[in-house]
Amino acid sequence: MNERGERQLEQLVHRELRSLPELAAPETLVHRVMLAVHVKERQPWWQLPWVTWPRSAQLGSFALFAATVAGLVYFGASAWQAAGIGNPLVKVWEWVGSLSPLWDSLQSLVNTAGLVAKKAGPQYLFVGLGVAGSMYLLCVATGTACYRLALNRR
Amino acid sequence: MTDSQQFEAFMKAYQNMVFTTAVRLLGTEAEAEDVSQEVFLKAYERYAELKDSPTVGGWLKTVTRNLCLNHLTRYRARWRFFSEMRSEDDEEGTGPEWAAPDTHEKQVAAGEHRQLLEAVLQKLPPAQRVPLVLYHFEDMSYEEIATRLRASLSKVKTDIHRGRETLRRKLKLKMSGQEEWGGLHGAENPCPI
Repeated sequence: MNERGERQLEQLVHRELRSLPELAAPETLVHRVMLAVHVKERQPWWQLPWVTWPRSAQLGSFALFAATVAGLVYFGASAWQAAGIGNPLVKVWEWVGSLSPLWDSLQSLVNTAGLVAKKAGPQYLFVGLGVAGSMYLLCVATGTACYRLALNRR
Repeated sequence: MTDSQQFEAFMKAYQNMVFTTAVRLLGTEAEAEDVSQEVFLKAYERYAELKDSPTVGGWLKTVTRNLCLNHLTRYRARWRFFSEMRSEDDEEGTGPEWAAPDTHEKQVAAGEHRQLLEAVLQKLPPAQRVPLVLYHFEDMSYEEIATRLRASLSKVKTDIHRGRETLRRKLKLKMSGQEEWGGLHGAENPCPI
């Protein structure tokens, strides 16, 4: 269809569509909405979202929450010690300490990269980084293409 | 008059506009009723500022449109997949069931024609109906529609063109230069599909 024909079709359809009157809403709509409004109005304040609670209730609930968390930490740690497992902080520190081989490996890797850069020149390092970056972008692009293809997005 | 009664009167004044906008965008009355309810519940939350606002009609229309588009976006992958898989031939069979040709004489009244037009519009695939409604009823430009629907400009134009063609074909509307004019502005009856 040429441009003139397209414009004529647009005008014709526009005129037809704009001549349509409003549809009558179902009788039930008002009742449904008013029922939902009444249900909402009758809801007690504590069933509404926290942000709509009265200020005093918000402060009180926050204090209660903080006290609960503090109590759990304190009594939890005491119970831990009473059970003879020892200080939980010490346990956490021991777990962090067990990760030291990982840290050593990372340090070795950085040192090796530094050595290579020093001996072979920084251009090899840049080329390596470029290759790694390109591969990462290729993965992102492939993933995006698959996602769009699956969801039929354009 | 209590607040509740005032709001009920407010609803009655705008419910047809909200419901019509929702039906034309969503294509089903049940979903349109759900969205209309959501719109009025939002309006109720802001009723204090809305009740005296001169732009309340525009506000309601915008909220309705946005909620409908959000609703469609929620099911976007599903409806786009099916609508775009559909061929032109399939579309021939998607129209509503009309009366037999011998009863057509009785359907020439404008009211009947409008009902048919409304029915054909609602039966259009969502990929065609939504941009068509946004363009012709909501006065949005092609670019705005493409941005809002996150589709390419060419796709929006193609879908709108296909929608118009379907309406023209199914209602046997005639353009100037052709023998007859159809619809409310001409003598042609809608055809049986």
